[in-house]
Amino acid sequence: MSNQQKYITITHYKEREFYFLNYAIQTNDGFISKEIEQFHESEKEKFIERIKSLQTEFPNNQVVSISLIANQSIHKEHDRNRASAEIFPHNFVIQDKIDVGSIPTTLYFSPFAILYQQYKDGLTDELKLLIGYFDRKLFMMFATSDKIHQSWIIGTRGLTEKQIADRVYKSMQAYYKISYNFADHLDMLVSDESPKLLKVLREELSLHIELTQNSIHNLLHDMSSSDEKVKNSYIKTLKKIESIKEIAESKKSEKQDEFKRKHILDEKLDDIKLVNDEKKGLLETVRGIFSSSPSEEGSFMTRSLTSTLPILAVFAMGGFFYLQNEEISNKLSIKDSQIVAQHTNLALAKISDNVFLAMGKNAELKKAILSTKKIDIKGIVWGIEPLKNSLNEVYANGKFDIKPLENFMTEFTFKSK
Amino acid sequence: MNKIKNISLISKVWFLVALLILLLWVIPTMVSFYKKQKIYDKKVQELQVLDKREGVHFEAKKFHIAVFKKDAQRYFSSVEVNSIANNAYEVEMVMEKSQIQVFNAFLKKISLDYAIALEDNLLFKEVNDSMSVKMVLKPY
Repeated sequence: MSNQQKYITITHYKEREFYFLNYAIQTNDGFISKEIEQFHESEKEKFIERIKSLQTEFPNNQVVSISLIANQSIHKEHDRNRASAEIFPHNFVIQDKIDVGSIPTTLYFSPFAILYQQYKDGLTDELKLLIGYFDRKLFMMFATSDKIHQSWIIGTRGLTEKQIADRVYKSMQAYYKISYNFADHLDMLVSDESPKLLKVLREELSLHIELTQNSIHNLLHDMSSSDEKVKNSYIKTLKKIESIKEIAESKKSEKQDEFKRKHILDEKLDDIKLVNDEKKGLLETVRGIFSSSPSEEGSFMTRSLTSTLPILAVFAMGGFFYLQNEEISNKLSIKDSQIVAQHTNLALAKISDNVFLAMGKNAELKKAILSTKKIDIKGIVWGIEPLKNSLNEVYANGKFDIKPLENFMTEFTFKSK
Repeated sequence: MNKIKNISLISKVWFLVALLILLLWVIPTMVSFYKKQKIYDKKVQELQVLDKREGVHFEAKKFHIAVFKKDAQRYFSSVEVNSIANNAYEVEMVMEKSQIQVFNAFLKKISLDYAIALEDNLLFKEVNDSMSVKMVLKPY
């Protein structure tokens, strides 16, 4: 089979300061992967050139990458304003934008999409936690056979295996808090071999954990092997993979059935024909609306109706933006209130912290009114001078008074200015 | 050119009205929406900086007495929530004196977990060797 006919998948991703590149020849029996190439980030141009040279050498190709950014999440609805991909019958993985930069990419998968493809057949009605460990991040999702219930990403940079296990457990607890459902089965897909992490996870979580290890390149080659899997890509490719494969296969042997080739050709021609028909139909429609052909002159009603179309369109557009505007205004006012509230809360927490630290072992609090503007505290004191000094350090020129009590103790009061 | 001339007067009037609505209402609304969208994105980032929670970050839930109480009871020995005037709630939490740090951590996340604002006033009082804290919460 010549290079012109082979369908290949070129996979790349960046981890730390290196780009990793690989390509594989896709066949009906699976893919045949070649050697992985590595480029330092300073050799970015060379890396892009290498991808382009592979594209030239193998015209039937897809350039595939993985999105390893932390701000991607799973939603129930499609978001037209952001990059999204359908990964479950009723779930979409969404991130703000496609961030491949100048690197050629035709398919771009989320680790969540890869996880779904790897484990979808094993999902049942019982809640399972699926974890993908890629680029020192844990991509976690709670799923049953019908949907993904919750997802999140945890960074593990600089953490020990025990700390990672602890975070996984905290996430499970947090999910339990909102759903009252606990996953007692965990599937994990790792891109690097990490037996220690698995051992610690098993010990710390006391759960049944199935581990699968596969390289990111192999996972991406697999994801781009069929149209069914490709629909999980953030980038909606125009190339139909099955067609590319079919064409490549049809050229493989001279003995290939002539009818099959004709059929594919017919399909392609039909596609083009349909597009042409559609274009023609649309043009005719537009012309019909805006031109005043002699045949229409008699129909006053038709003309009146068609002349109102622009105003209706303008109202529809205005109405849409009006509603969007109202919605964003509400969201904005909620965020504003939340920011103000959070500032107040952080300030109060800091004041409370300072007051109790200042008292330390020199006093015991009986009553206190704390606000961001003033404080008024009362209690029993054992070390008068240290207490006075430490309170004055926090609130300079505050009014500090002491009063002996009948039980030989001393009461103090402090008011800030 | 001939086709434009052939367009009836009523159609021309409709076009003009549509154009005016587009310029005076639709485009300003659209511009306002995109401006607000930008401000909103900035606010989200600002809030992310203030968010000191570890691990999972949920959107703030609507305040509900039972849910809030159940959540707070995981940290404090006693939690009372009473509805008061002006759509506000008076909350009293009782804790061990050694748990003040837990209370401070709770304060730092309360408005991130619930769509609620804390009145700028905390009342601490010693009750039977424990510490009681009263505060007023107001949903926004």
